[in-house]
Amino acid sequence: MFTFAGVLTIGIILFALAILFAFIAFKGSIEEVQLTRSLNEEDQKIVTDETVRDSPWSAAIGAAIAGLSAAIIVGLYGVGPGYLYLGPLSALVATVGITVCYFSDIRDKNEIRRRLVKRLHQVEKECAIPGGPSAQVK
Amino acid sequence: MLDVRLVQSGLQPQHAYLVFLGLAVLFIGIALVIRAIFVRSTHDFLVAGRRIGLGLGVSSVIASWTWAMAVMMSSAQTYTFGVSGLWWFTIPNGIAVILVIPFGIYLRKHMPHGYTLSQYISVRFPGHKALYNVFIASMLFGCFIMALINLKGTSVVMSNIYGIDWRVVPIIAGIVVIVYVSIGGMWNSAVTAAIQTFLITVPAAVVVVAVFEKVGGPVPVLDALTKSKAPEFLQWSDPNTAIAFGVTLALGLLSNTVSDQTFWERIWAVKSKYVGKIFLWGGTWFYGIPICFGLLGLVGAAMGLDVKTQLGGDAAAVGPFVVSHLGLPGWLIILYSIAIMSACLSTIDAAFIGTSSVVSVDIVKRINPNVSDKKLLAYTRLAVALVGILAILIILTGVDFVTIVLVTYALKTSVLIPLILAVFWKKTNGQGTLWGIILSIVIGMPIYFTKGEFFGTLTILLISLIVPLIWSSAKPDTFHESYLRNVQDLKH
Repeated sequence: MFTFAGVLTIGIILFALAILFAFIAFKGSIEEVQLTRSLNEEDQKIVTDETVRDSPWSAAIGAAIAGLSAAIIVGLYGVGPGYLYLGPLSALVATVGITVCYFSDIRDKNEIRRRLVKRLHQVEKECAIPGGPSAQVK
Repeated sequence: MLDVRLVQSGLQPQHAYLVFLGLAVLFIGIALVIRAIFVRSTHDFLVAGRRIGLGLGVSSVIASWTWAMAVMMSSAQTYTFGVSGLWWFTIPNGIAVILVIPFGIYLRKHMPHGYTLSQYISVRFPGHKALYNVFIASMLFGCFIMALINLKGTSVVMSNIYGIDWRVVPIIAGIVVIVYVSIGGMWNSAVTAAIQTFLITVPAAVVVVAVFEKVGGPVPVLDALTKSKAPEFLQWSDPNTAIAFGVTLALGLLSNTVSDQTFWERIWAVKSKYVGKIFLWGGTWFYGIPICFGLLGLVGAAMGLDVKTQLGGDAAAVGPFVVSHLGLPGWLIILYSIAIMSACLSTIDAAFIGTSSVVSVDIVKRINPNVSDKKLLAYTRLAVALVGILAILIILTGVDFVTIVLVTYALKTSVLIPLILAVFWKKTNGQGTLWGIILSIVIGMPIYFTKGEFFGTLTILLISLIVPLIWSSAKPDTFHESYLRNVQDLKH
């Protein structure tokens, strides 16, 4: 696997997949912006889900795990020649890792579309109910 | 020592022009598409409508954090200090990114409509104009020095590899970035970052494995190092490396993320729900880059390269030298140069956007609060062009920008602790913060010059901690986070 030809082949495949998923995610972002641009602020909040979910503890745990993994890899460089291949392997794993992050962007677009349809149905229902918000406005 | 024959690469300046042309067409083309779809207002230009998702956000963080330094210095520190050099260079780098998370979460929760770090300071300490100005200066200098260093880095690498005139490189690179950033803003920065990140990670693996194959694999590399170097060279735990640069670098890196506009801008540009994950995965996946490129330093050390005679007196040249003198195929050397170019361009574009945010939000809007959005967007683009041209001119005139580096260092290191206190300790008051910054520079910088970087940095950090701590304990501020909600989006 760690021959030049092997790494080159894997590299080309990963690069092509990464660019493909990045492109799909980018296309999703375009759709997302177009879907939500015309909405008013309140509807935008409902559709796009503007809540902060992460916790500062993730920083501490993440820093510890990521830092420790990197530290072990670098530390192993001096132990044996085979470990030097962990460097190129890390770069390829990083490519895969970043590509996986693009799945969230693709999922997001579908989720927003689903919420938007739901919101439209909700607004339609409100319009249909006598005495509902839209009827009151009328 | 490794038995390898050094061969000059046959690459010519015209190859460099082709690389520039390819990257320029790609990035400017993307910018034109983005402008047509996304950029309708200054708000879109500066923070991408706060709609950047996880993938684009992670790429954007990695690309803006991967300076020419991360690519070249990882090899240089490994070449100079051995495995411990790479260890001390790499580990704090990723952690510095991940430690932005608490700030990101806090800011998106309490100040969801912000744009710049200095804007936060103006709301956190209302009425403290001097303090506000200090932070504006700190942000502008920080972004400017990022652009300068990376333009210089591009120039050094491209002229070394292709033999192109070093003065031509910053002009072309600078103009390319000015054009694509002023067209597409933050959206463009994020989308090009996606490509740039993969143009760094994949070539890193391919080039390093090609180098190994050329020198006979990792076995002779490690054998040569075992025979020619002291045993500490292959140990990660050499305490001398920590004292020589490790601890200072770690603290410096922290001030480069936590008190840096390019990172704060990304905090406000990404979707709220990803504000933590983006920095977590950004920091984690960033590690792959220096860990991989650092190996070129080990190969350089195993080859017994001489800094003075072969690397022009600068260990940072070890990576480009190894790649371009082993007789690798031309396309592999081009691939390596593209990786370095991507690292440089992505950081420069982040710096330009950072500058334009500070100029539009903290300077233009402050002078003329009623400025129309159209005009503000024009000023924002003008700021990108001006800072870009100024950076190019400074590089071209050959002016030693050590003074700018030192001013930036002093400002950024001195604002780090007061900023942390301002965000997480409500009692922190404006006067204590301002005097903490001023005194830490006035006392710390002379120590920096006389006793060295290590003691200078520690002094700056200690004074900038003690002064606001004592002052604020004696006269606590009555700040409430709800004030931060008063900040509104720019009208769009």
